[in-house]
Amino acid sequence: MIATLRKFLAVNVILLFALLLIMLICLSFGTVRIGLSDVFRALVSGLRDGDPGGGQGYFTIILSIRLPRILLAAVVGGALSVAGSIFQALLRNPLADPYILGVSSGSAVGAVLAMMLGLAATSLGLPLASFLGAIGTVLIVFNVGRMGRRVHTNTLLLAGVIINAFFGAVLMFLISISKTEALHSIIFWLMGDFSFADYRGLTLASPYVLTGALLAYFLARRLNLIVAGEDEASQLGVDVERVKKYAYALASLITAAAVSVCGLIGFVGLMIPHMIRLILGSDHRLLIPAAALWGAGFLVICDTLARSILAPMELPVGVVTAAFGAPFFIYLLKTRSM
Amino acid sequence: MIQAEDLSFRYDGDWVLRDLAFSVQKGDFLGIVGPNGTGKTTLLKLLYRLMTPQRGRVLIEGKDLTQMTRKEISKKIAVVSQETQINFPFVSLEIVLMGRSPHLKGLQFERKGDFEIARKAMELTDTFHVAHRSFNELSGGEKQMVFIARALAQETDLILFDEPTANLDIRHQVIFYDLMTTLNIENGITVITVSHDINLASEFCKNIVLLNQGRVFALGKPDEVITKANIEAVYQTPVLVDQNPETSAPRVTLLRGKTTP
Repeated sequence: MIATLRKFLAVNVILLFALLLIMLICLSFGTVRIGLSDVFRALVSGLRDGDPGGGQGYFTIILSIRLPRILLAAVVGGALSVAGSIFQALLRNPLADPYILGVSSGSAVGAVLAMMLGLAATSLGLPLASFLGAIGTVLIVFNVGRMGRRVHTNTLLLAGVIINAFFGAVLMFLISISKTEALHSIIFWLMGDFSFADYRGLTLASPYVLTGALLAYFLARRLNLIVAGEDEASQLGVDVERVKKYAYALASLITAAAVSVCGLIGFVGLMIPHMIRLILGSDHRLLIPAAALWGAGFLVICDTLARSILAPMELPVGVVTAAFGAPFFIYLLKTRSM
Repeated sequence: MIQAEDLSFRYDGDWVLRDLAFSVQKGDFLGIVGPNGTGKTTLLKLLYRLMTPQRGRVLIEGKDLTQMTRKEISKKIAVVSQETQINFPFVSLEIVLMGRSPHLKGLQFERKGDFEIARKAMELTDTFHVAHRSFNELSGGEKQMVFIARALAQETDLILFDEPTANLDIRHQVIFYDLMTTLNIENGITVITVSHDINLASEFCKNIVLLNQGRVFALGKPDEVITKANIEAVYQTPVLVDQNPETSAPRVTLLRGKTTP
């Protein structure tokens, strides 16, 4: 689809509307089913009075439990989808995902260490440890994969594979020596977990995700040219090395921020950009915002399923995204050449 | 138009180009020929500063390339390379519109004028009928034409071609070189092309640079450069050089089994 300003506006208004609708509907689902009119009432009173206070029981469920969780799922879903779009463009490979440079294994090692050392109990311990683990690993991968001042895609990918494998082993080591009580939360974290979601997590991750995504969007048109060939992009006036560096940094930051508050959620960052490309084409000026909005909605739906299917038991949300993601890719593989 | 002043370049090991100098006048149609590994493509990459020479400099309209930003260069020089693989779904028109990039700012979307320029470029290269077809589904010849359209959309006075016909059959080779000639004569675009095919270059180019081991071996009109002595000296292969009976351009024919080892 040829990108124009009108299409940009139309697509984003539609998707934003859809996202709000999804969030509203998902607020009513859960262990207790709450009618849409009560959801509205709770939201209105929450907006008016700021605090649910001593209102009815469902007010608290909606405003203190479900709303922060849904908002967090939206932020994380958008973050992973934007990061996925950017990594796929930079590596010129539609099968790249946000974890490809080691964010996953690095943040996992950080998070598991925090859980084992009892830091997870403090309010900042877990997210901070996982964030530092993620950023640290990306820096290692980037410096291993760099050749002088240029960044070569293949070397970078190989560096990512090696470092990921190494930290994977470190992770296995940590898990094998950890106490049984910690295992449950570790496993949930590794498959993505929103059950601890609150406004604190939201305020922690959102600034990084939103600023990162906004800054990354300014690279959108130049990413189009890089996707069509790096030498060609240079020839068309793009400072390729600089754009790549910024884009890698921003996408890693966005991913690390998302991962630090909810653990590792697979398939979203891989699948959502694909879906959008099937419909809107590859122009990143359309792709990035559309992926952000649809990724947000998608993860809100997945998390709602994760907490309602077996209620009152919860599934890790990564199980649900994988249940959608794997068949989707098998379908793509069988019907079209990627 | 463009001047190479004593260019020397090496990747890591030996010098690929050594004190290479020549200048191209506005309106020229210059062919760069020479054996494999003699630095043709490297030279081309220096001419649009994809790489920077260790010694010497390139001037475009009297301005040193290293003093210009990428964007400024991209408004002066367009490049058509060999066929490149694109792993993402773009339609041809999107590829051509990318040629407008040097003229856009930040996040700007292309405007009516940009679409008009892209349309004209596609009409000129006879690709407008595939404008909304997926680029990856086009034939090799069509893809190359789309890349020319992109270069035209860039609206530069100079277009560099890097072995543009390497993967094309003879029909598309002729179509391609005919188009380059049209652009050169009717649109006043200065053309520099690297060519593997001495006869194509001889037939179409106004001037030819013959490179050998990173230096200019000969420079001039095809009948001055494409001579038996020059070709045999540079390629180390016995050849027959006569004239195309229709155009009297020099014509090189290979002789079998007499190559000096």
